[in-house]
Amino acid sequence: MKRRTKADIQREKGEFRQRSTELECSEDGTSESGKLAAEVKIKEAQYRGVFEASKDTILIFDLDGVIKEVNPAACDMYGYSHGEMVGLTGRDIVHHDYHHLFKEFVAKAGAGELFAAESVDLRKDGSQFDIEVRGSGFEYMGRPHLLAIVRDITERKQMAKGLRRMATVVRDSNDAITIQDFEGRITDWNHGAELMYGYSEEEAFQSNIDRLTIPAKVAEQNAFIQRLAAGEDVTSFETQRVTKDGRVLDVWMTVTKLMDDAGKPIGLASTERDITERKRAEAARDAAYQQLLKAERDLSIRNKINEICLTISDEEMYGEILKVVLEQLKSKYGTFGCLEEDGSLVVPSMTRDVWDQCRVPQKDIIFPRDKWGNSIWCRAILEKKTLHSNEPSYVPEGHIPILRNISVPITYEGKAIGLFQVANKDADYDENDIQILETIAGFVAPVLNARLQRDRELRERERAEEALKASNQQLVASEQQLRAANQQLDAGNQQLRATEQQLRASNQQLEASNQQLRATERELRQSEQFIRAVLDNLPVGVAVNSVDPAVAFSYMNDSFPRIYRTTREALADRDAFWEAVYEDPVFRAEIRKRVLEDCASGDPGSMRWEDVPITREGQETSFIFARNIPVAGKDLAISMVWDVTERKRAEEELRRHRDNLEELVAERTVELEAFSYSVSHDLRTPLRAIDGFANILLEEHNDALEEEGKRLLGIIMKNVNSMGQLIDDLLSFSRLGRQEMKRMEIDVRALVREVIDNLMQSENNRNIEWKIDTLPSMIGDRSMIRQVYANLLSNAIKFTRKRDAARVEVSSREIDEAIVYFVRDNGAGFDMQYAEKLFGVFQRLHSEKEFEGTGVGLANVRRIVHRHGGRIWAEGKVGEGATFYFTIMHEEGTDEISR
Amino acid sequence: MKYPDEVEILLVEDKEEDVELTLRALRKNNLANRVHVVSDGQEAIDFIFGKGAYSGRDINHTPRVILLDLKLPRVSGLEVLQRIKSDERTKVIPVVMLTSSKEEQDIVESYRLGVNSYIVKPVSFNDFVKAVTDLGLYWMLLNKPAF
Repeated sequence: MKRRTKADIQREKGEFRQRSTELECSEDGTSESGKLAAEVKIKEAQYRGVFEASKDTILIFDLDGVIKEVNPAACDMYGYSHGEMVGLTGRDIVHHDYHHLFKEFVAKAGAGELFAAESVDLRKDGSQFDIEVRGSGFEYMGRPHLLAIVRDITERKQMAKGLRRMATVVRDSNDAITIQDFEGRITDWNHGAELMYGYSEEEAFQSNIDRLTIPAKVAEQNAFIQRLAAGEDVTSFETQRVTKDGRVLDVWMTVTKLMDDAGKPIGLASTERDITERKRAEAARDAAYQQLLKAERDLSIRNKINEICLTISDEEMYGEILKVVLEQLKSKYGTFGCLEEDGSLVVPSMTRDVWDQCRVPQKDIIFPRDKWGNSIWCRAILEKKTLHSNEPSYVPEGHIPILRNISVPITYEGKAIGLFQVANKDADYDENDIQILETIAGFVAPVLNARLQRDRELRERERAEEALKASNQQLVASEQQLRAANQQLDAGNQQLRATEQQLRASNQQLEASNQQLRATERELRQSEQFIRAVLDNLPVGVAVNSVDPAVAFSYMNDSFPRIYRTTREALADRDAFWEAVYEDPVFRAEIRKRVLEDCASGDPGSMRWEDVPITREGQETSFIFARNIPVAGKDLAISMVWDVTERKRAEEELRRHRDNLEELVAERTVELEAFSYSVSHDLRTPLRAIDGFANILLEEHNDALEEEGKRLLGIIMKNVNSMGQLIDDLLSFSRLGRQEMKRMEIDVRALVREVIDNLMQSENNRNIEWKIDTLPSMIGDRSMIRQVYANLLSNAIKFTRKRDAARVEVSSREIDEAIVYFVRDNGAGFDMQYAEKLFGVFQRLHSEKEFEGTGVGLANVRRIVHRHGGRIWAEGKVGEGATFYFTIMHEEGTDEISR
Repeated sequence: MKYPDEVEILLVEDKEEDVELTLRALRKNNLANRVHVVSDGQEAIDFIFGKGAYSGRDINHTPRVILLDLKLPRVSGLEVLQRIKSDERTKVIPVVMLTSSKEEQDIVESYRLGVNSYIVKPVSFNDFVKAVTDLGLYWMLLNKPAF
């Protein structure tokens, strides 16, 4: 229903006032107004109709608070008839507590204002009820009145009260209540949740429900959220959640989906109750129950065993107890045994018919200690520990298969006294089974111990009795001895019989030694077979031969005829060897003569024939190496033969390669010589021409040349000169490789002095401090070694040029029995990074401008040192100088050709 | 041909540039007046022994020194040297071997054949001039004509 605004009411009021005026006019009796009055009457009737029919309670008061008119709904609400109600005052129908409010209403109505409030009214019967009242002042019968529309709001009030109560319940519930959307965002969080999970409402708000979910339950959670989102109903289930401090709670969760006004699912509310304690209690109860069951079971077993022990004889006791065990453990097979004094296990109680099923050779019930293996029951006894396996065990052949078993030692006062073993239950043995068997073993232990103790005492008594019996017998024996003396008289007769027996004995001895002989023979034959097998598999041919010049083999292995490229059969004939092996008659005669002579010499050192060719027509020739080894003290020789074809081929190949290489090297050397020769002549000639004519130009046409022209000519001449130097150095380098070495003893000290003097002639302005120390003489090519020093020393002079106090040390030092000569300077030095480059041809570490040179000097030095079988290396540091070391081998060096 | 009976220096050299340079070197020392130049080994032999183009030349007028290049077309310097030194009539003529090469074998062979001096022609013209002057003068002075 559309709410009337204040403006609407004002307007209506205006209309009403006008109509009233019209009505009044019509009462004046004018025809016009009469007509109007009729209209008003009609209108009024219409209003009244509405008034009467309205379901809302409508009351009209005058400004004194007296009811002037009510509609039927009002009568119903207040329980009065129309007649009773009109004339009552507001005080009659408004609860005392609200009279002030009614007064206010009346005042507002008088002022033409609207009002609305909640209040409590009274029925005719005095009962009170909640109402909501709205109203305003209005003109009625020409005077201002109060119109009130009342609504019973008891129900609503009660609902609101209920809701408030519910909200309180929710807020204060011990259960956690969370509201979340389908993305898992927590949108509401009650106090219970705060208490249960430890997150404050602020922390929880807008965070994800995943925070509470343990990893194992993520899938479950996602599943029910999906189901809810899809519109399904999920009710209650048990799950687990995790608290802020990491405790995992068992939780009973009730989930309700939440829907928007359109009925679309938008999220879920879940009530979670911590049932951890309950679960714990349940678990404890279950455990107690289990314990009770176990106690009951143990009691029943104990009763059974006690009964057996009390009522059944010793012999049957083992079997009867085992029966109980097998029944309790649902096993098909079992043993119950005790350990004897000597450590043997006696098993008087093997499951009936097990031995019948087994086909093991010895079906004893005694297992002597020294026959125990490493099977599970042995270990159980030895380690005094329960062992079990659900895997098949190893059993002797013929034994029924043991698929799974438990072995429990029976111990008493820390000593193993017996054993229970059960096997072949249909299912795997578990902890419970082990526990039962251990329990039984515990019950049985004292009983078994008592019985064993008793048996031992019995046996001891028996032994004592036997000892007594024995001493009695001794007495008897003495008497018998007397009697024996008498009998000796008869001995003479008996001796005859004895001799006969002796004969028989020696016969037997003979027989025995015969047998031994045969055994030895057998052994010999076996070892011979072994040796034969080894020999036949050797890649070496082995044969046993008489030293007789005629070749007759008493043995040969398989390789022997194979290497000789013939057959065993062909060599079977006496003296057939030569014919069979050597095809060519001339060579055959020759080799035969040689071999026989070598053998006849008797010197084993000469009985070796290397690289003898074996030819077969149409096939490749193979080569052998053969030896004869005479066997000392016998007319025998062992012939051995190796196939050396491969080796020979490889050697041949190697030799061919070497020849090729030498040839190649020689060729190259000749070429190189020709090349250097031609270079030395032909390369210098044009250079000389360039320099010469440049000179002439400079001398004879000096006037025609400008300064720049002269400078350029100077550059040409300078470069021609370096080119000339380069060619010279290159040639010297190439010559060094070819030059023949003339070795002699060199007085190194004198040589160094000579070189220095020579070098210093052209270094007038230099002041160098020379330190010439130990310099032992060496064997080498003097001119070459001179060149070594000339290079090293001129370098030292060159590179110390920029030093004010140049120092050069020439000396040697013994390192590892080798003499290392060295030249040390305090010059420009070099970066060790380039130490290797120093010795390369044309390798220079300084610019031409800094230090002149072609970069060949050190390459020459290295070449010379290498030709002397020595080594050269350098150490240095930029700005601090350099040291060059070299060694010389006194023997022939590697006379290398290239490099 | 203007007879070079009074030839003082015989220069045997096949390379024109070298000839020119040598002559300049000699000229610098006023030695170039009576220089005769031949350009190969055969011509040298012909000149010395008065054969071929030089038949009729009086071989008793020997040059006072022969500057002989080692590498020559047709007949090599070493062969020429051998011919000179193995002939009684000519073996007294001083022969200075001129060569670009420092090859030891050449030097050794030259001395074996009786060369009197050996000049390795330096690349530097100044050095060359010096060497030619020194040696040329030396032998010229040493081998003064008997008359």
